[in-house]
Amino acid sequence: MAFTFTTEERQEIERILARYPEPMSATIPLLHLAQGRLGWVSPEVVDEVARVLELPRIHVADVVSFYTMFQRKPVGRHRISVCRTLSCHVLGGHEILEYLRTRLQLGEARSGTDPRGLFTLEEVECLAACGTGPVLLINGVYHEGLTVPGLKLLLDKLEGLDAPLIAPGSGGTDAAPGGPANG
Amino acid sequence: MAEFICFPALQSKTRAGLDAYLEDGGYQSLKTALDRLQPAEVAAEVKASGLRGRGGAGFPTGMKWGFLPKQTEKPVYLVCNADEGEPGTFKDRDLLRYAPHQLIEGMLLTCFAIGARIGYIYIRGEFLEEAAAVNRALDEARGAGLLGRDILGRGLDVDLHVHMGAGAYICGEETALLNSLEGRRGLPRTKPPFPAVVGLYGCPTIINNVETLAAVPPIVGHGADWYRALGTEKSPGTKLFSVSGHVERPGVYEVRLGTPFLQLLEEDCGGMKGGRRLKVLIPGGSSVPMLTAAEAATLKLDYESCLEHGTMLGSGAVIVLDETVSVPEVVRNLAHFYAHESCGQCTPCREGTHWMHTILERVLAGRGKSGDLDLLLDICQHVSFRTICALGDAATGPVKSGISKFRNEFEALVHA
Ligand SMILES: Cc1cc2nc3c(=O)[nH]c(=O)nc-3n(C[C@H](O)[C@H](O)[C@H](O)COP(=O)(O)O)c2cc1C
Ligand code: FES
Repeated sequence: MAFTFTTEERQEIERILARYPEPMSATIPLLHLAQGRLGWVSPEVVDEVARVLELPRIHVADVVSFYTMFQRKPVGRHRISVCRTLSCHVLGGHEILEYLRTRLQLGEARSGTDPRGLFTLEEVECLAACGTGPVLLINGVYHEGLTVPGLKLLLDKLEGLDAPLIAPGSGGTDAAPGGPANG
Repeated sequence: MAEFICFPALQSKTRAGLDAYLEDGGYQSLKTALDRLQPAEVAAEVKASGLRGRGGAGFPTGMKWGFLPKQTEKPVYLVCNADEGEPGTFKDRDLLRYAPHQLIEGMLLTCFAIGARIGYIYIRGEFLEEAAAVNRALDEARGAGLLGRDILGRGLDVDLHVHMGAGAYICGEETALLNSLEGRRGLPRTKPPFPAVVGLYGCPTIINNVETLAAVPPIVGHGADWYRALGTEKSPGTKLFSVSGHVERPGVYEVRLGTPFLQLLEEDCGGMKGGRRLKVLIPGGSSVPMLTAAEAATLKLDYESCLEHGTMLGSGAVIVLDETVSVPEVVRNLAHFYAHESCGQCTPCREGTHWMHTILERVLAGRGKSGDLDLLLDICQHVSFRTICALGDAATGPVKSGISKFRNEFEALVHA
């Protein structure tokens, strides 16, 4: 699927470029901009960022593969990133992870997307919120001091909110390019 | 008791805007400096204060600034390290959220002192809300003539920009950060040359942690002697400690350096969670050697006491673990972190961190072999100080200290 930056995004790109003496510095900011709209970094995003910055495609692809926040596969509608590092772990982070793996029916996999393509689970390292663990991000928003019952309510609500959205043309799950991915 | 002397905003934890900051005397240090001081005098005050880098290495800040070339045709850059990735550390997050103007004022004073006209604030990619707070503060400062051209009509030109990372602990290492800021993979560079000589875009660059830069306004405002008197001879001033784990009241506390650890634990953190007993203390972030409860009992929170106890103050990330934890499990958890975060550039670190994790996995799964503990210690020997950056050595901290201080717990697993 082709990807081109919109007119508004092009204006934002001008503002970004003005901050740096060298356009290569805009590589990560532009990838964030694209992923913010698309939900992941598709090969076409790599092409577009390389074209706009006049950089070799391999440079952009190389950068994408280095940073864990860039998703190289389509993800479910809601991306859940759970901290697995020490302080969260000892405060019950592993129970949160177990609960999510069961709820998302991931089987043996440690991370991945549920069969409906609604939630993608990933384990991440310390999110710098260790004093309020266990911590996780849902679509980039911090949720701290979580318990399993609290998380259950949160996800039930997200599922509920999603129900009407799945109607055709409203940007529901089927709008996620390539559908759910496991990995 | 925690006092919040240099960072009052962390006590109230309100997201104060420019007006509130000005009301509390904010930007006064900048005004004073621009009116009465030469750049070299600001640098001299910071040097005299004895301020040490709060990002982990504890390098004297004034001395670092002094490494800049005296004469240069090239622009000088200031970079604020807000990557905050060391497990256990969450103090910079509070500074970004609650004290963004203090950070900006600190960066302006630093730019004035070192002759930089552009500064970047490299914020870890997950900190969206924190970056928004900083961007809001930058807009306010620009609107009030505190940023941009001819700041406060005193002829200083400085602009500051936020740059977001994208998930990579290694980008907290200063030269990896520079590569990342230039738009590359975050691979550390060999030193020398040091960033002060060849840094961002090949130009002289000073990199300091958020807390280091935010400490500059109170130092310039009250003077070096005032700051020194807050701490000890070798560890002047105050420091933020991020306390996590099994305590009643985790959080970020500003403490006079030299304060006994037990005082922080009992008075500020309300003691151990559920009244259980302390088993392990990691005083300076996941990379520093762990201490037993007996060692922790005599620890003071300063650079020299940490050294005497065979550990480091690091970023001030105090991880408190009680008797319910299994030390091998703790070590395995951290080994996973380093294996995952090694950038892969140096073979000893790339291979060593993975082997350490793999062996610990098998030990914990009850499939350990009798030589495994010595093998782990042997791998540590082959990783430490054989790599471009300090990540590899950091990875050995928990393994070496865990096995040497709690060997029986590991033995029990291997011989189960
Ligand atoms: C693997 C690694 C990770 C680091 N992560 C951070 C970090 O997240 N934040 C930080 O300020 N310094 C970090 N540092 C230390 C920086 O390299 C550097 O010493 C520091 O930013 C200098 O600022 P300071 O002198 O004000 O402390 C890290 C170092 C290493 C080796
Ligand atoms: S350990 Fe989970 S946020 Fe730091």
